[in-house]
Amino acid sequence: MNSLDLQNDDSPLVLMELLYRLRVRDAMVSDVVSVTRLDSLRRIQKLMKAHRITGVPVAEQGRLFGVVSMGDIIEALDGGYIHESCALHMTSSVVSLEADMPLSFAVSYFARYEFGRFPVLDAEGRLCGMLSTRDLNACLLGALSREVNRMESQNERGTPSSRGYLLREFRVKTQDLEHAGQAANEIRTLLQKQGVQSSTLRRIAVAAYELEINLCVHSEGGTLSFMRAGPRVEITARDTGPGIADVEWALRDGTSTADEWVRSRGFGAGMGLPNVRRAADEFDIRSQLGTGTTVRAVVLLEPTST
Amino acid sequence: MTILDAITHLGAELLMQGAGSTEPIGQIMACDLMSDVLLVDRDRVLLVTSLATEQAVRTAHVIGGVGVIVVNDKSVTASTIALARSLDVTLATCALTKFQACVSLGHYEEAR
Repeated sequence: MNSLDLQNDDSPLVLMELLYRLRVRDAMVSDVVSVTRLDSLRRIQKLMKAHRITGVPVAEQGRLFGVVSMGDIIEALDGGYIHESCALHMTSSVVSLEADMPLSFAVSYFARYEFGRFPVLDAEGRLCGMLSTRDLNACLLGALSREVNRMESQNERGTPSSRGYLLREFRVKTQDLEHAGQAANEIRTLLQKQGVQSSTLRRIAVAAYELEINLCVHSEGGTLSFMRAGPRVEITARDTGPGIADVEWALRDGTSTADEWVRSRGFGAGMGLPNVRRAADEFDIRSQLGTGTTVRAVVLLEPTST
Repeated sequence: MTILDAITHLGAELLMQGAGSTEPIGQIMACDLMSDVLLVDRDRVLLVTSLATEQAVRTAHVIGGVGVIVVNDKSVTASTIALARSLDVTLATCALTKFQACVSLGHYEEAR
């Protein structure tokens, strides 16, 4: 795969933005075919053929021990030890990716190492997926296609061009209420300098602030990303757990699982997510227990807010 | 009424004067629950609160408020004042209760 120079200022901004916005988990295959250390290389050869894959992770109960590649299988056939256990011949010093890494990391890894695929680990270091160059390309092409469609649609509506991409990402620590709000304050200040109208500015800042507080209070920590692309401002909060058991319930006014400490700091009234939905022109939320939550809020700027 | 008028009328101590302190207040909101403050959809809100934390200042900034008057004679930390300075949010503290401050500001506004 030809490498992409991520430090090159001439790289298209849309592509750069996608590489930093998309995560490894967005591109990886999570339905992983894996084997244990006791499995024979012959069994792995058959698995590779059946699933049309060229590498298989060796993992037990989520813990990654190694990887067996097509090259290992060819060597085993040549060497006459195809019936032996894979534990004896697998590559045990494995280079892996983390699910929450921006996709730009994956591009760098593929350029730096000569592997065709990488195992992907979750926040607890457990195997949760595999990423090949094919997966990465498919994800990027899909995202680019959606982005181009969106830009073409904007042009048809006569909205301002999408030049001037702006992207920021903030790490939000769990239970760190003292600093929660820093991202929202920075986003507001940034957009205020760009002349965004006050009522729109407030909607964006409120959405960012509520999401930031939620990350701090209800999650195990995560990221708040902010992107402006022409007239479109997108705020996305991502965390890695614990997830929301009943999203519909969480979206009702006044429902909250916040404790007294949070309430004593002025929050936890159960207005956060409903308020984000109110403030946004587009809103969606995805959550899975044990995996995490992603909330996306989009606010469209008025034509005069350039 | 500007926030400086309100501060003077309440006998409050001005801790940080922001750029918008001489412009008229759009609405006064007395509240300790920042979740409720974030529901306001008005410009130039003056927040009267007994929450003497950085979150009160951050919340005022997020909604585009003119400033914060902390009531109940609560002490405001240096870091909160520094935050108000960095966000250009007017900050003051006064000895009155929230109820007393609201009644006093109401009478003041009626008499104007």
